[in-house]
Amino acid sequence: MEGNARDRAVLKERMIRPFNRIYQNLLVRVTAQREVITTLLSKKQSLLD
Amino acid sequence: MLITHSQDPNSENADISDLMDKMTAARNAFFDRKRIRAYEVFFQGALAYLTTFNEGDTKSDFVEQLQRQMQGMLDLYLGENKLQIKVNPNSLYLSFKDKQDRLSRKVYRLELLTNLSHKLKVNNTPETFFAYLQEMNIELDATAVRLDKALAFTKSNVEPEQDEAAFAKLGAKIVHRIVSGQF
Repeated sequence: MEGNARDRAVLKERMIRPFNRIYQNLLVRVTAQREVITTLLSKKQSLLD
Repeated sequence: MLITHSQDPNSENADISDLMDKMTAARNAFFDRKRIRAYEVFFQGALAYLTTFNEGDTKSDFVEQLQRQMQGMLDLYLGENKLQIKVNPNSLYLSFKDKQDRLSRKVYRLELLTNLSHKLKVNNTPETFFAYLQEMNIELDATAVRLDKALAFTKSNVEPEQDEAAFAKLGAKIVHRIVSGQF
């Protein structure tokens, strides 16, 4: 029983681990894009003011 | 003197070669540290086995001698690899990751700007273009929130790898074979 629970935990971790890296890369992408958009929008605002 | 693109320290080529250097340093440090630690744990497992083997009133001279010799070998090995142990692979990895993130952000920014310049040509008026930007901003905010949640979930479910116990077991197993005459 204990062995089964350990196997399940290992399996779960192996399935989740790659997603951690994918999410991190996606977050870098989203952060970079947000920087660009925010800069453009604030530039527009400063031109209007 | 004319500085070409590849010689310019601020060029992307310089960034990439710096990134590669950082990656190689982190990888080497990681494998060295892992190898040394595996040896250390292997010997510790073997020594722990020998200690339990020699418990009780009657001590075996052979086991004690073996223990001393193994401890000597471990000390010698750790002494020889003292320099590598001091290098922290984690800090090297973090510096590589930081460099990689900065380079990725540069690429993603350029990619988005290229897409936007195309959008600017397609959209007839600045109003439609800025409306597109506003919409994208809202979408990106929502995506960032979702990604934060997803990352928090993965982080709470991922444990650091624990394979050290396996090396200790291996050490104990091999010593068991030696002392029980199976080798």
